[in-house]
Amino acid sequence: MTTAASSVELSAIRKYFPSNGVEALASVNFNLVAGEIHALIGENGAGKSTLMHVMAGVVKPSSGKISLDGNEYSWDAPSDALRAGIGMVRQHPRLVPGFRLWEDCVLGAEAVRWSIMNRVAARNRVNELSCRWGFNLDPDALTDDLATSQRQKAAILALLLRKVRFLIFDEPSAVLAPAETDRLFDLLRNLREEGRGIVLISHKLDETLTIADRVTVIRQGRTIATLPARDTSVDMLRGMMFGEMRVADKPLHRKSTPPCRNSRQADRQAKAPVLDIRSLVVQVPGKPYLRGINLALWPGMIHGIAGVRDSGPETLELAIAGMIPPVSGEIEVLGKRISGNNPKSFRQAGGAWVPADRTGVALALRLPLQDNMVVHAVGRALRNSIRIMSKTNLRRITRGILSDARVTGDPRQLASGFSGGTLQRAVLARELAENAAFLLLSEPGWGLDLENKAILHHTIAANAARGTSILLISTDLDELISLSDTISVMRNGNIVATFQVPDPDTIHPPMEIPALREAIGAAMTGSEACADVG
Amino acid sequence: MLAEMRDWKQDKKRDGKGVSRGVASGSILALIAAVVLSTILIALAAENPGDALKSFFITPWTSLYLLGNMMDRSGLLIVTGLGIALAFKGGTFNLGGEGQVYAGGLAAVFVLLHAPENLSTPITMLAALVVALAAGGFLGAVSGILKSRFGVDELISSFLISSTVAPIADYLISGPLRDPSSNLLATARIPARLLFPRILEPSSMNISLVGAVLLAFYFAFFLTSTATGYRIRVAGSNPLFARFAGFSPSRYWMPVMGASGALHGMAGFFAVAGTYGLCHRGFSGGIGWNGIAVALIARNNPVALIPAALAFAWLETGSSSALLSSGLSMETGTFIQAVVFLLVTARLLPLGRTFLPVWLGGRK
Amino acid sequence: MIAAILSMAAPLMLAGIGALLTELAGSLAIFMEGFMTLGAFVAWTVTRATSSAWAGSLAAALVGAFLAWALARFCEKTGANTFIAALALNLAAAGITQTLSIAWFGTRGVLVDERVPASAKILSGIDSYLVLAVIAVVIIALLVKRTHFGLRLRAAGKDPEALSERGISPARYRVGSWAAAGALAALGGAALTFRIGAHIPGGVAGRGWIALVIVYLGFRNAWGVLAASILFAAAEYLSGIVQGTGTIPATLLLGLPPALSLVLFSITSTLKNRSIKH
Repeated sequence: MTTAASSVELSAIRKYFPSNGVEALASVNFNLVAGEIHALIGENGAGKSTLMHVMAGVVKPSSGKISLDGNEYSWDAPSDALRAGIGMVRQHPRLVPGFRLWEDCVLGAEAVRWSIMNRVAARNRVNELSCRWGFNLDPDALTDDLATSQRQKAAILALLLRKVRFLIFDEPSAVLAPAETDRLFDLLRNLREEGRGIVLISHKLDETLTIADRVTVIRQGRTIATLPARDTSVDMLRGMMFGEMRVADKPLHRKSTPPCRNSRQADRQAKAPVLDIRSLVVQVPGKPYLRGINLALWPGMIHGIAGVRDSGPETLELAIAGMIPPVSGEIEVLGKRISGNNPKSFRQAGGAWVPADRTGVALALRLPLQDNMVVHAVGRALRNSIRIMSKTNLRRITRGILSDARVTGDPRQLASGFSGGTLQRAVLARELAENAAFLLLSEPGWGLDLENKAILHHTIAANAARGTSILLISTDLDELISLSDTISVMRNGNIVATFQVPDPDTIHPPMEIPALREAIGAAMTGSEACADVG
Repeated sequence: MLAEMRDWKQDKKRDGKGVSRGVASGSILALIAAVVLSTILIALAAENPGDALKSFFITPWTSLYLLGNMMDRSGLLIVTGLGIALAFKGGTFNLGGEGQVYAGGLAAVFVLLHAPENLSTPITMLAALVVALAAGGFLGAVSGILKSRFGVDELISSFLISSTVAPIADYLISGPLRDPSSNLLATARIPARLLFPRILEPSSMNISLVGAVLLAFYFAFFLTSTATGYRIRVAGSNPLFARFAGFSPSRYWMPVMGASGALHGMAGFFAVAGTYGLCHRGFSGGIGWNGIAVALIARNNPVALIPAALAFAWLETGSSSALLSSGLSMETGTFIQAVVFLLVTARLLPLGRTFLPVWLGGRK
Repeated sequence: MIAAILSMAAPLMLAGIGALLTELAGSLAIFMEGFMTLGAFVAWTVTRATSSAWAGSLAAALVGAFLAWALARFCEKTGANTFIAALALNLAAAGITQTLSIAWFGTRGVLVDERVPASAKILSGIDSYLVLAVIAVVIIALLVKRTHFGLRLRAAGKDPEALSERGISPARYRVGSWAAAGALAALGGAALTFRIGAHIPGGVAGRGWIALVIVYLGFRNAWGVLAASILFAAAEYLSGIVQGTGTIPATLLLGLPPALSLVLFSITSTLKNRSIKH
């Protein structure tokens, strides 16, 4: 089907996003050969997805070269890459809602004809392909009714119909049961036999090594290594993924945090929990499922939540904030019940929230920055039956928040006129200024440079020292370890492990930290022997 | 699907700096383009282009009659523009303005004609105002409730309500409420004591203009300095942010649509008791639609409505005076309106950036 | 009676099916009223000049298609709000026709000329516009449901991102649907002119807006549009009868179609929203 020399080559790819000032890829080399399964491994935020988006034409690289079979290409849209023979299967594939399966597969695969299409023939083609690959899909099923594994198969079918030579799979097994994963891997092997090239992005190192021919590890936007799979082991990979403790940066021990942290451990049991979650089950379409979460936080505690994308932390965040309703279970902040679908109850109970989706939820870009900063102050004024807002007062509040955030510029300008990083700092400062008893922080350090991150971490620790209880959801392990007292790891909608972060001021030596990192990584990727729930 | 006024370029990000300045100059650009287009049209068609152009640009300002009418018209446009802007700020779209103006005017006339003689003037006027507000407000509020309770698109529902009410009002004016002593299809004349005092005779400019201007300032204050106004703006700019802040944006839809309708009703009252002195059939023609154009030009900023309304009124007055002087009888009014609509909504600025001076938003 | 009702349904059907196309493509065209107005005028003018109803109809369709296409491209290029642009056209249409009417014929009133036939019929008594309308409905019904083109059109409306991921530009389908809607609306206007054999300013009388409601009343389905058009035509016929008896004044009856539309639109919206929730 393809010549032996067929390959896709990405050289010196750099990708910088000006909208939020993030350099997702610094310099990456990657190549994919026909007839191989090439695994792409890395932490969250390392750049794996961005790299594959470049390869599939979803984003254009800021610099660097893409070549296919030796010819250089530049793609303006995914369609160009598709035509060249490169396609991507997302974890949650985007199928047209309301269409039948065969309609969605066929969409765009044929040249436009105005004549009545041969529905029977088209449907049969889909059916035949589906059977040949052992998918067992009903071509007439509505796309809305398909389970995720079926949606993946449908997306694969669509690509096969278009005779794509190189397929990229973005963490497919994360949403599949083990038996389904086996079937998927059989399929990947078959595709490989046919001479196609496959990229497999995955967090599950064990199973990935069973199928991959080569492995590339990416960390912080750079290629760390590309090796034949048989020359590596899970431990070696994990070491490369998460990296050794960096001596050059600020050390991860907590000498820099206020000393009274030790005493908190002792009196933690004495007070009532600030956050109490019992048997929380959440099932909202389009979001990861929470299968029964139990969690409790006490004053002055920072509790970290770790987990790969789509394993649950996002849903947990939304449920606690009252934005989505739970199916069953209870969430209480300071003893007050958070009713689902009612974010007001979260605020009134005494919670503050920095959402992961800052511009979508925590800001109104079309309003002036000042209006964005005073939102909580106005809410409080209304609760105190104050209807008229004093402009001087509002300006003062805004100035206070913005100076905390070290944001310069006229706050009367629209929020959309400020850079992403600035808005991040502003939102954080606004929520921190609430001095709430419970703070729900999601990805606080995202989009900040090292200096601002360090300042942020100091602020968070200082808040905790004052008695604020913080739930810290983050994909940045460094951030989690340096701030949290305890860390829970989520996988598949469950909390699978909870770790105590060693305190450097006790007799445990700082050398514990690397071991902790490995253990967290293991729990996130599911490599230790714990029963997969569902 | 309808309520999401789909923007085919919504994924294009603008470079953030100077967005506000660029936005204002977009409106100026649109107005300039509309003026240029109109002058070209008139100059081409008129026998004496010089005369026509003079009538367009100069005469409205030199003739007291035209100037006064222009000011009066802009007063009405300020009020309907306010109604539209308010609806927009709250995240809704009031397309039923024409009907609301009509209903408000008719209701006010009814009160003014049938009020007892011994009731003092201010009280009677107040009663008429209240009735006008209620009439327009009711029509608007119905759309609002349909939206918040049943998810019915307010754009279409407000338009349909207005289309239903207009024929009813037409019928009432041509029939039961008609003044039999006159040839006009109109109600009887409002007693002179119950009219808004004129400012610049013989034009129709009257003190309701003052009311309009004060209202504009009041709403500017309301939106920026009261908590409710703030919440309305938040609801309209990002419903998720509203929920984040702890309230539900749909709570404000009915009040906002109601207020928008009420403002239109008030415009109707100003028109019948100020400009016309009676309620003739179809008097509301254009006040509602042009309010949308004015609100667009002013980018929904209450204070900016004042110059925007003035500019639009001048456009109308200038073009009709130019036509009259050159002996043409073209119907350019709605055409100009349409051109303004189109140009104001189009983001011409990115195209023109390279040619505009920097202070208008151009590139260095 | 049935013939009369069906005949009245033809303009609604044409405009309705055009609006349906735009709705399916994801960008409902608000300009149906304006284009019907323009189409009615162009059809009358060209037929008078050429003495051929066919030429008049063709001209109307072409003018409608071109203007709508231009409007769509304008929106695409400048990022203008499609709704407001369509509204602008609605407002301009009446003004443009009046202006041209005065410029070319010296009056803004009713235009009559013996060269413009009333009720062009073919096949011994069947209104040719009705035939055209039904054919249009059938073609579009097939097109949408059974061709690749229709598949892509529907995808453009349901999930434009998914479509562009597969390498097809949804914008092209939106622009195309607007052009088709412009042509069909213009033909609907022409149908009105030929029914009476004269051009009556304001004769469109809100039918363009009713066409939008018909789309929803017909549950966004070509056959539904057909049925709803007939329903509205029946209402129009009934109101004509009532007008004749003089019990309810004509002016008042003009308010009936929008009132009915409002009720029906609210009901269908509510039902649609309820079903989405579950």
